[in-house]
Amino acid sequence: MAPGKAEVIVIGGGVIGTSVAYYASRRGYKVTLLEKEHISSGASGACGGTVFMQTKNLGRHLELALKSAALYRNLAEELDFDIEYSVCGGMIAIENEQQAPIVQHTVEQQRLAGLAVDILDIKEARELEPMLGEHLCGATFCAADAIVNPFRVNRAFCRAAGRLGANLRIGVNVIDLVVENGRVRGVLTGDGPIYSDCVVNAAAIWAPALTKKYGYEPPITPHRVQVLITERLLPGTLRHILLCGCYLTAKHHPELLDMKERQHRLAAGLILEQGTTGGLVIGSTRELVGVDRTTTLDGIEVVAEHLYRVMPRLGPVNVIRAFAGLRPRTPNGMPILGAVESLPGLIMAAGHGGDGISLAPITGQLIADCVATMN
Amino acid sequence: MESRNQLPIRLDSNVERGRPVQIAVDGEPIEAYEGESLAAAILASGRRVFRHTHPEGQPRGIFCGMGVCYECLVTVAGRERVRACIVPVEDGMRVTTMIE
Amino acid sequence: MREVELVIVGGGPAGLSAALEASQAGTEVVLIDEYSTLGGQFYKQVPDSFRLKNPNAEGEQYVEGVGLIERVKNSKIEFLPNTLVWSVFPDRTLGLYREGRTEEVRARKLILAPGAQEVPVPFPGWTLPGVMMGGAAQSLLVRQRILPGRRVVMAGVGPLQLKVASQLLEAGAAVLEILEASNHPPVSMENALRSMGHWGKMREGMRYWMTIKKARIPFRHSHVPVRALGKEQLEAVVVAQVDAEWRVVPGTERTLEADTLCLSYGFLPSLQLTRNFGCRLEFKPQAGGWVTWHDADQQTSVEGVYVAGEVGGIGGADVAIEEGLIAALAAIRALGKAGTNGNAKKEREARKRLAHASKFAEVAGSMMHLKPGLLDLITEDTIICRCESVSAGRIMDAIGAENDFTLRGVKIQTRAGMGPCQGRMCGFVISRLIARKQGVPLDSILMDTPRFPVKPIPLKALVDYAENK
Repeated sequence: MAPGKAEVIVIGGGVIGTSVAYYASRRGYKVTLLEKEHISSGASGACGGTVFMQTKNLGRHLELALKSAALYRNLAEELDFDIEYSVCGGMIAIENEQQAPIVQHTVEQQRLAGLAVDILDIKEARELEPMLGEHLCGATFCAADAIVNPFRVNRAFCRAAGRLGANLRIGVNVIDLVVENGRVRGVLTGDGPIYSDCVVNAAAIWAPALTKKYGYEPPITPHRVQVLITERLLPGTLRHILLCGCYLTAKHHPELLDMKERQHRLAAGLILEQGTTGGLVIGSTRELVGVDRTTTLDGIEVVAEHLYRVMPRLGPVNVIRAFAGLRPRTPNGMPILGAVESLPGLIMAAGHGGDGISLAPITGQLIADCVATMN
Repeated sequence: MESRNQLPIRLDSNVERGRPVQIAVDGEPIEAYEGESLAAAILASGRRVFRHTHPEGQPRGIFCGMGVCYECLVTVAGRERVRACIVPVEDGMRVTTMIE
Repeated sequence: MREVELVIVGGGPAGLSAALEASQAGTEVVLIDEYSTLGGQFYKQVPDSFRLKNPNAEGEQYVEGVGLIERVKNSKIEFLPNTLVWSVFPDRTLGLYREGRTEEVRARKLILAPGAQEVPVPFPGWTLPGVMMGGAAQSLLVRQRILPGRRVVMAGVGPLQLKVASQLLEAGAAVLEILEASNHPPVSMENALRSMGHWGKMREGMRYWMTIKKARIPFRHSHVPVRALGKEQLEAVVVAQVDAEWRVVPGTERTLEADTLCLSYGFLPSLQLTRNFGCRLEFKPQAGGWVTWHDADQQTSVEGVYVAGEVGGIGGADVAIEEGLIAALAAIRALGKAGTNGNAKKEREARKRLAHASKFAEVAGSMMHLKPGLLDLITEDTIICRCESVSAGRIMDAIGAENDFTLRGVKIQTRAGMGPCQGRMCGFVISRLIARKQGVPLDSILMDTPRFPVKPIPLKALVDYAENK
């Protein structure tokens, strides 16, 4: 291959970029992946590993998630790398009576759409998940929800792509697209241009900056999530991945939220998992603060408060770390996937919000299809 | 898995300890004195293994002795897991060493 | 929120010195320490509820500490023991955790004197119970009056282990051997000290040396422990001779049956608080590597935040005491509380003493320089990150994987540094492993972003914090 030329360029070394690199390589394309810092230096290194079906919008979103889940089931074997995937099931805690009808309605719709979800009273819920507070109203249960190790997923895609001939170039910053006569012909990096007629933009929060001057600005905005990590707890302290009902209220009936309350101002919703080594990963806020990864006392407190409300028995657990990640969110919560009509040669694979981990496999596969169509 | 042998002893030269307090470690009452660190009381009872890592099962005990290494973590009923080398014994403390 | 004129974090020599000076000048002083008694690591004290039959029998250093602590008790200094500074916020605000609750305090001026930790040097078997830092053995002896073990091997570099060995001997332990990694016999340090007029230190060193000689303890320079053996705890230590670069000389291994191994390889400044404040650091290899930069008045790059003692560079107690004094004088001046009588002279004399003490620190620092051969003790299976049980093999695989040579990258890939000690025990070695593998200078390895909690605190404490505001 001539220097400075690639068959397919993928911009971004997060799970989306590496997934695309893998699936495209598997189809026989020669992929060059460009990452400005290091693998998982962005959102993919500042996240948990929940793979929720229950949080997906019905229709295309859920469809993608289910397909992705199906890919996950065989991924470890396929990539020859243990990604610690487990279909542990997920629960949404119903905190109070206000949440109950909203959850009820959501579950009914989900069932109609073919997603099996149950509603349990608090007694049944606590049999499945003993840490849940007795004062809660109940919880949903969805057997299809799963957990995975996001760092290992990224490494797995990387290594497998590399074995299939992909060229992973780390520390290479893409400054601009190369556009000639309205067509994308490659990218301009800090080390000079690399030419390709097929460029995949998997740059998450940086995706819009690359295309804006060419008249295409995908609606991706960084949202800061603040997350706590606890000390190791005995395996099985949490048996499922968890969410709180207020998440659904915020999604479907935001008018019911009292914006004076700090929790709602920071758009905090509880999302919770126990990692394989035993620490709990507890998220998160959802704040519009630009590109700012500082952890704030407000943010950490609000997450801690929320967990304590739902699982008061975890009060004595030590919080050992806090971090912040920037989620590339779109207004409708759907990632932007596919060829960009106004910029032939460009394929978008960005805007996954908090669904990057869940949707990485299906994104890789779909974008590989796109690449095939384009060529 | 306990290390009950001749090791660590309390020295008497030049010191009178505070009043004795009642604490239990893994269900067993042990000798302890007001003001002592929990680690000292545990060591003096002949236990050097404070915990085993999970899942590897490696034995761990006192390492830095000053509260920075987090090796001497023990569970105290009703409280968070604490560093035994930093925390003073209290009357009625019930300590568990065996949980990771 | 409570606002205080001067908050001092750390009750060791630097903090005590600063607190006493500031309080004397009529400043409102709050002195915070994580431990239950004052004195830090230098003036280790028995708990308040213990009674020493004859305090003077404890030796000069102990008695000095008692004196300083008495003066604090008799002053208006407010001492907050068992208090963790778990977070820092703009405007010199500290989040405290004490007595199961959290609170905040804002300092008009802040002196950070959190001291240092000992250097963690991994080798096979170092995680076995019975292998401990020299300071841990000393704390058990001096503070708790517990004999840490019966058959003790001492290892490390420099004079501290002579002191601890001597203390162990006096307490009735059998010290089998003292291993000094460098090829400096103790006598050369004494010569250096004598030539600089550090008579007190020289006398002290000679006293320990005499105790050891009298007990016929073998002192072996150019020797290191290479392996710790045992099932549930330490049972034996394999030792070996090393060359000038501290690389093991083949065929020199010997096994010593021991139940305790003390490691004294020097000190590292505890930088978490100053880093969280955003204080600038500088790299000083002979003073512990990265240290907090400060000006001649001990002020850091953050206005109103001063440092004293080891956090600004490893220098020992004498340096710490003078720096504490100078920082206090500067803080008082900045608060507008400086009277004019005597302070200028006091400061001049402190600076003179500081210069003198710093020379000793330099000598000690250069003699305690760790040589690269130490890294070669590490095998594939040696645990580097103790909290997460991450082996050297996994870390070496991770360094440079996908061209990632960052500390953060190694952390994400292996979990090293993600445990409760927050990298305090593994960061030192991992940085060196990266620098060596990548072939870059040590000071080019960037540390991960400092964040709170500075040390772990319970979830409930965070919740209460929120509720109490």
